[in-house]
Amino acid sequence: MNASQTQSKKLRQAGIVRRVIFVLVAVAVIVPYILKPNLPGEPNHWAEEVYKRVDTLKPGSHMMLAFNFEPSSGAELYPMVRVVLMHCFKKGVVPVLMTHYTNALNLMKQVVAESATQAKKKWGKDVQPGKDYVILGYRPGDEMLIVNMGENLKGAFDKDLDNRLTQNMPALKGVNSLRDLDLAMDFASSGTTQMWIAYGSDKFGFPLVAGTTAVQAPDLYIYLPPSGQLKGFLGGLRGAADYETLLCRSDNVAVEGPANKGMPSQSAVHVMLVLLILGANVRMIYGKFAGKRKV
Amino acid sequence: MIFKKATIPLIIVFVMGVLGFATQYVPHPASATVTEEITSWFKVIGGFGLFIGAYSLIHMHLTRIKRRMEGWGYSMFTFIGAAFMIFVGLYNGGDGPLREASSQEQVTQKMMFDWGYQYVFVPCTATIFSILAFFMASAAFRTFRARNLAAGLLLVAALIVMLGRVPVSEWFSLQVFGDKGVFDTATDFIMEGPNLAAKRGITLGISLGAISQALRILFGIERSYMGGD
Amino acid sequence: MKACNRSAVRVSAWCLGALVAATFATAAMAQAEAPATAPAATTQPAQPTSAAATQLSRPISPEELPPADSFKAMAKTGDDGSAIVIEWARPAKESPDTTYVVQIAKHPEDFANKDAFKHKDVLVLPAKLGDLYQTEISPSSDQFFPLPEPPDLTPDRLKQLLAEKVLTAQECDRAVKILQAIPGGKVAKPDMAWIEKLQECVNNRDWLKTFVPPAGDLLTQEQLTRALAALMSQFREEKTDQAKSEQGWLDLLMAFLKRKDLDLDKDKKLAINTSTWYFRLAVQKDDQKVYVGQNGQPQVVSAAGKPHWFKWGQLNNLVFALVFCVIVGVFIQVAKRRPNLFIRKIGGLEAVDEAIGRSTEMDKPVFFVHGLGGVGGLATMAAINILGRVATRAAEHDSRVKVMNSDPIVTAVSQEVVQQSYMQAGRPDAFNADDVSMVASDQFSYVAAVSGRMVREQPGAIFLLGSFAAESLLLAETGASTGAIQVAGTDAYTQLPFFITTCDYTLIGEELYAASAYLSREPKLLGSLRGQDVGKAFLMIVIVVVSILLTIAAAIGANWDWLRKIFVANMD
Repeated sequence: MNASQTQSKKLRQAGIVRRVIFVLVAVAVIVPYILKPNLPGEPNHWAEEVYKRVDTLKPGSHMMLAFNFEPSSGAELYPMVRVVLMHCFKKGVVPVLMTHYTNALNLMKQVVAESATQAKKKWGKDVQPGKDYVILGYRPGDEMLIVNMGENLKGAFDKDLDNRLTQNMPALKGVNSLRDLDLAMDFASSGTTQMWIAYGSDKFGFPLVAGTTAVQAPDLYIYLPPSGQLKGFLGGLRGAADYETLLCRSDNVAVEGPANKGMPSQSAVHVMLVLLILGANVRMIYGKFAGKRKV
Repeated sequence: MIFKKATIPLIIVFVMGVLGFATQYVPHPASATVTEEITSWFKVIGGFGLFIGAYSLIHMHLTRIKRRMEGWGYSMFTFIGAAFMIFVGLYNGGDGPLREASSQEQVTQKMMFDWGYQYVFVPCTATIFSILAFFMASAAFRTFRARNLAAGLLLVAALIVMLGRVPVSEWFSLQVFGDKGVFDTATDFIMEGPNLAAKRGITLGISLGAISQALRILFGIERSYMGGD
Repeated sequence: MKACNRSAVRVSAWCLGALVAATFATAAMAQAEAPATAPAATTQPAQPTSAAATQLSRPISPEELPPADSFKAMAKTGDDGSAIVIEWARPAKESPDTTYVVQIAKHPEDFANKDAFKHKDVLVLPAKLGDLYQTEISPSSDQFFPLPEPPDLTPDRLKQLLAEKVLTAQECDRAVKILQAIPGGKVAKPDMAWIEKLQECVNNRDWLKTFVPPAGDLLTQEQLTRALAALMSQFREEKTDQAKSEQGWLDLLMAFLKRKDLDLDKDKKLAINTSTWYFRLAVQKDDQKVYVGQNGQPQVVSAAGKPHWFKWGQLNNLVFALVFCVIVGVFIQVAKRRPNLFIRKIGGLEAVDEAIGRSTEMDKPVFFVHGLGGVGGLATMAAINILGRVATRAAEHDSRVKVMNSDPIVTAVSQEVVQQSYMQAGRPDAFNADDVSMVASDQFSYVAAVSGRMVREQPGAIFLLGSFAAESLLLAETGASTGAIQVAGTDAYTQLPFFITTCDYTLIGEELYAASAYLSREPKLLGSLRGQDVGKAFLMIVIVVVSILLTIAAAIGANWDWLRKIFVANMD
């Protein structure tokens, strides 16, 4: 057998193993999603930190929600924005939403509408655009946009997504710059949190927390206390589930929400992967010993 | 020729670089004005860049179709998709381009564009992203082998973090250690201790490398990006 | 083939076992966990009762007041002139229900009139600087003394704009005519007919209804701007040429006014912030308020904002940047004299030739994938530098390089770089502009396009260099499945593990930046690399030494906070 045949055989073998793993992952995701076992966990302390920050805001305070993800990362981040928005509406905090992604606009409208409906259903809060929340929408410029908002928020966004002028908008009363925010949260699928730290909170001095995909989460530990550039963060779907748990506990109701619904699938896939990896290692070690014995 | 293709661009790079550096340290309103001006230029240049991108895309796909190259059907699909979205965007519910819809009826008609976004674009991108889960599983399975001490440590850390990130770990932890929070605490230790130390080391290296690279570009020592040495 | 199938079956068998075990474990845990959650949800701490609130509050004692001489106001240093810093010392005694209140007025005598001054509450929190409290006040913000609303848009205002040369005479005439044509004639007066007409115009657009002022109110310019927008929509419905022309013209007028007001606002705000303001400080508890002062008189301090030319808080940053520049500069000079500087081997870069050679042997193309970064990103810039070298080698080997971009400007730059490289290699005829193309600007559309081409064209080598996010693993794993040699490099820390697991060689962070120097071996570039390493060594020594010193300080109880402050990043 020559080198090229060996290589193609190896590729074929790897291909088969890959496909088997793909099928297993699919099953591990789908089965628990259908069976819906109840799996609430104890919230992580960084999630508690974020929750406390929002929970201690006074009614009428302003919280910026930077909606920096596209539909592709929605599976992890959409439930996160949803639950934080619901918490804002419950507390009477005014959420100010903006994005650095054009593709996020429709998703943004959708999540606000859904959270508003939930807030009305759960706590009887009737929220109005321009009064109880504002969707500023999208402007180009990334870090320059943050600097512009820090200098003049209503200049950077002269109109909101529905073309209402921001100048005398009741929802933005007292907010002329990022300096006037009581809290900001970046929901990020990529490196926008670092941008918000460098050009936003560090420069204009407002407290910042973040919610990121699980992949991005390790990037943020460096900014957490003692550095303190981030006050807390929610990591991946687990972060969103933790927040849902905290919000439900504050209402003394059973834990529910889309993120908690996804936890059993995530648990199953993680456990399956751990077992697969352990199995592969046992096999490798056994192979080594068996090889030695033969010699 | 060298003056036009090398000296002038290098002067522009140097001046803009120094200006950008200086505005970081100057809080005066004049500095903000300069920054705003530079941002506007950047936006204008970005606008022109869009034409270059569109031209490149169209040219490449047209060539593929003309020459019936492998996968030319996908190129056709690119044009059909783009044409559809451009058409419904310009049609704008009958209002034509550059206008907002003036009645609720037209807003509903405009939904054609939103429909394309909501029911074609969103599911497609979400599908591609979800493939990540499958690829991650297969890559992890292939790679995590305790071949030596370092790889063994990595493996143990990975297993702890993988379990610590899901609620099921609390049950395992309770059964094995008699305490719910062992995996969670261990995960936080790994992430906030060894992970953070490595991250800081890599970040310092990357930052210094970036400064050094910026200096090379600013002073014209590095010019490969202009197409020459 | 049989062996391959057997191993696949074995793998599938214990994979399935693992899956079943995982599912059972999850279900078992869920069952065990389920009853525990219900009580957990109900055992919340009880809401605080009002017992604490009903306690009578103590009067504010003199010890709870900050010393009068510590109360100061000053322009914020290293700032654009928008903020004034108010500072006072922590009093001898503090209770958590106390609030500090800073009052601000234009003139000292305004403090006598409760409507003429504003205030800011400062909660008792850990003091910022040892025992000093600081708060910043920007007088022009909405909370204090915001800019007055712009004047109403009346024929007189239009004439004023004409005098200021904002409008031409012709434009002013037209505007006056339009204003007169509006039902009711005079916009600045309350006019029910006009409001009703407006409501008629907007009845199809719910959001516009919120802009209609309550009956009887004057229309401000802001409200008129909104009303004009509503009027435009009426013109649009009419769809006559006249309506279209009016609408276009009104658009222009509004753009003019908005631009002018925004420009003026900036200057006006600066003027407000940089004039002198007066401040008083009080300690507040429940209904009691005691002013900081002497002999029963509240102390009044004053300050004005001042635009500065340097952010002193960033001095340490600047000094380090300059020191680093000098180190790099010195080593560039050294390298000119001693061109053979030693640089450690970087496996990923050593493999560039091997990868291109293999592609040539197999008669397959070389793929160069830039990732999602724009041309402003240093990782992309470093990748473009490597592209030049890769393209030159590929041209020499008579191999094809296909570059896939997501950013139009990176596409243009890459085209230029590859073309130049082919020319340098003496093969300008082999360059094909379509090989360097923009494939998609959206992240996952880009992944789909590049992955598709990888699978169809089966490249011999793939270079994944630049700025990557979630697409890294998707691209690298697809590339691995084609059997191509993969060389990856990025400065995105979170994506490095994916590249390391799936690629043959990975350039970690700074190695990517070093690549151009490494490949060209040009003395000046190598010198800058050496300078970078020396800078890093310097930083490492500083980190270790300062950590030891601060630990010693903590152990012996010495206050060496000044040492820590030297290294604190301060963006103000």
